[in-house]
Amino acid sequence: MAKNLRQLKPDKTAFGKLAGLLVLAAILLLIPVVGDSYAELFFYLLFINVALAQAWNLLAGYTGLISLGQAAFFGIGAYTTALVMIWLKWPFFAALILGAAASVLFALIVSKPIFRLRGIYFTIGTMVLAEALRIWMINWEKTGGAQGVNLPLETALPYTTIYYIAFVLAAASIIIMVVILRSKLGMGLRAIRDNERSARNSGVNIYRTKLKAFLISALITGLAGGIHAEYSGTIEPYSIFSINWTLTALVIVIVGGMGTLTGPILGAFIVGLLGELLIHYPTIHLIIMGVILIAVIRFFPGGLWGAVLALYRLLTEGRSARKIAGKQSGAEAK
Amino acid sequence: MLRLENVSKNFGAVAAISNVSFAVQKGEVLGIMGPNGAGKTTLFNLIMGEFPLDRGTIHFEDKPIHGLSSHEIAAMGLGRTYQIPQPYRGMTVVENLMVGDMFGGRHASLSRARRRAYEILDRVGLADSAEKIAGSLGLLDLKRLELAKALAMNPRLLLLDEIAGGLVENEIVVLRDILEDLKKEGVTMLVIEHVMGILFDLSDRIVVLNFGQLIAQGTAKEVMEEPQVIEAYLGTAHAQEGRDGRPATGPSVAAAMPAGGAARGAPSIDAGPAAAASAEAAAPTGFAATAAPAESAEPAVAGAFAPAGSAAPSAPAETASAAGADTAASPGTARAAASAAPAVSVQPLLEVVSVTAGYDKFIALFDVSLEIYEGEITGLIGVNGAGKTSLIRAITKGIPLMGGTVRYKGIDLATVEAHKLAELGISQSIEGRKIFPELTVLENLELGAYNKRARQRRKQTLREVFDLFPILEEKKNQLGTLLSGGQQQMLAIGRALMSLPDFLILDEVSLGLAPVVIDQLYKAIVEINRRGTTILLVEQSIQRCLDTVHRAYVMEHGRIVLSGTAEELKNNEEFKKAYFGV
Repeated sequence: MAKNLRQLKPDKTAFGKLAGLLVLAAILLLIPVVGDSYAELFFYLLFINVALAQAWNLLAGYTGLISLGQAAFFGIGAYTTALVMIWLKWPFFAALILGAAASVLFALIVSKPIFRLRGIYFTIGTMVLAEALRIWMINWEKTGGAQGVNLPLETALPYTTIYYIAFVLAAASIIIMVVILRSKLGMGLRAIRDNERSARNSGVNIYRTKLKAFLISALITGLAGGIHAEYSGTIEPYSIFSINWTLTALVIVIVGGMGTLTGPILGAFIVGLLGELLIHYPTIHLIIMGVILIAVIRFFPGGLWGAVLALYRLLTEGRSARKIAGKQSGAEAK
Repeated sequence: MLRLENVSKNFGAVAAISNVSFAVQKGEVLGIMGPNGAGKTTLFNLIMGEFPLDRGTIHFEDKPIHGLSSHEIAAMGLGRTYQIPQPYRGMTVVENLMVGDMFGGRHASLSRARRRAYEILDRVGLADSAEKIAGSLGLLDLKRLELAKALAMNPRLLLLDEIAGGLVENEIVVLRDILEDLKKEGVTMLVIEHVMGILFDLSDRIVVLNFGQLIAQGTAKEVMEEPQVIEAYLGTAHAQEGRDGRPATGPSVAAAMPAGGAARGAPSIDAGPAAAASAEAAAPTGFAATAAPAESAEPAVAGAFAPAGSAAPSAPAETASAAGADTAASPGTARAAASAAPAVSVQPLLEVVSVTAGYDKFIALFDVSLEIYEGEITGLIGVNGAGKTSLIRAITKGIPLMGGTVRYKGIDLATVEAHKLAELGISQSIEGRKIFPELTVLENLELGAYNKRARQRRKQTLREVFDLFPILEEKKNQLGTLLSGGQQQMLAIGRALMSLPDFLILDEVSLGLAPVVIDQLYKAIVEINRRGTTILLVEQSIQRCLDTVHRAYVMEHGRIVLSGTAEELKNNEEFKKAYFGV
């Protein structure tokens, strides 16, 4: 019974973590006030990337669905937001909500066929989906074709406002993940990731559970797309539907730590920082990113955050193992 | 509570389950028995909705569940375990249980699920590992977890698939206690189990499957008296014995053979024991010669068992003439010649002395000793998970020894590198017939001749293999994948022979093959032995094995529990009881 109570007690470190997060949030909120526009741009991109990475991690790290088609949801969110603002003259926030809704609707429509694909085929399927959409948008004259569209300049929000919106999105994506992971849904997702057959026999509705993750992922990604459209002011299919959005999220999550909450945040920071440091050497940048990715996969399969956790566990488990050993010898003495 | 009616399922041309009907009452424990490949696990898969039925219906508490998906069936209160544990490897042990509790029990409270999970973990003895990642557990704990996961669903009907397999004695005791408690609590159970003790003690009733058909049901005692059940487990000869109520002597079976045997399409099964008995009489067997070279009583004793054969040399001829031309093909008769041919030495070819070995966290062999003499066929018998394959791996350096020695031709194999074993003349045909599917039959065989000595004699050996298995010559340019199961087994043995072994290890030769094919293989095995190769034959099919080998060792839970000549084992009451249940 004592053991049970110990397990039910809230994590002692949770308060420390919360305090740390609040300090971090305060600093980030002050960036536009104290920092320059360069810092603002850097952290804006960081927020977008954290959101994209969390969305991708929800699928890959917690559900076992490796998607290479996040650009489809990003692009649909961006284009819908932009077109609603241009065609219907809706304000940004209303358009953004519609953009996210369009992204979720699209995910719902493609979920049935795409979930029939497993493993690598699912990955290829999602990639083809995003590519097909990109080519469609390039050729669709109504949406400006390859030139894309310009968002109404007169109602454009100031960069700082968009910075805060992106901050809210990043924070929301983290909170959503925390909530999911502490819910029945999170339990089901991880069960599916680890053993789909066993999960099914434990009563998990595989399709519905996967679908929930897929829709939430599409929602976050679509929102990120809509915000980025407003930030860019002009969007065109090549960059908006580019596979790079997915790949960046993928690299961030793998480097940071797949299936962890902190991993994507850490990864986004490292990847972002590296990008800025090497901005004048684009070729070397890619090579170094590649090397880092390979090195992480080879030496820290759980990502950098996974390595930190493993180290932490090693240190604390050494301690608790000694404690247990002490207890046992005590019990034997009795 | 659960009712199956005319359930059938085919996989391609294979009828995995045909026309099975039975019912389980509330609070009842129903055991499911059957040889390997009988369709037991498939039945569980069908109940749980993993595959659609071809025909028939399944009702749970009078509601049809066939056609529902697995998660719906699970949520109705059916919990199952898998023979091979299926944990959520990336989650902690306690989380593994919480999944089943929350989804199977349809509630969303994590703290409640966690509390219940801890109660169950306490019960199965896993509480200390509760916060460990499931993937880090050893096999035994995974087996416990498998049961705990099913219990966490709070099931009204538990489907248990071989949860005792691979456990050692005292763990089986713990498991039995848990199951008996559950039974007292009124949990209805369907139990597949190879550990007969548990099955018999626990089950109120037993159904027996063979080749996908339900061949018997009733209490443990009732089903074990069914001739069809005895036949499924032992082969026809013992069934005959059971029916007649007296031992099948040489002449009686041989006389009965031509009519009945021909009708069955596999006459040599019937003739087997009789012929074997004669064979024992016919020649001083390898064992007799080794263990007691001067013992002249041996032929006489065997002679009494087979009244027809009194004079040693005349016995094979008599058996052959009595049983007709068919018997000439039977293993037993061929054996008679086999045992006479090779010279027998007193020094064992292979000595296993007090070997303890296992895998990472799982000891599979405890203090195992055995001796194999040159020119003999030695049998290694035991149920699934008894440690037979592990012993082979320990001999062939597939797993490291934790204690003991293996000596071959007087050489301690610890000093020999694994890939040098072939040069010493040890060759094996591993379980599962691991042939190269992308290579032709001929290429597969030629790959067998990898050592220098074998390469030089390659053409000649190939000829011998083709003589042994003519079908391989016919199909020599076909890909390995296109062969039938039996042909693949022949190819696997043929490939092992290509390395010109002095000592050949054959693991589960007959597994999953039709009787007629098994006959051909056994004929070949006897012939290989006759040509001078010492053989270690690992078998689940006990009757088949005892009819062929000179001596046999019986394994149980990683230990040798019994050994002796084939005749001794056949007449050993304890052995008969343990393995044949008669």
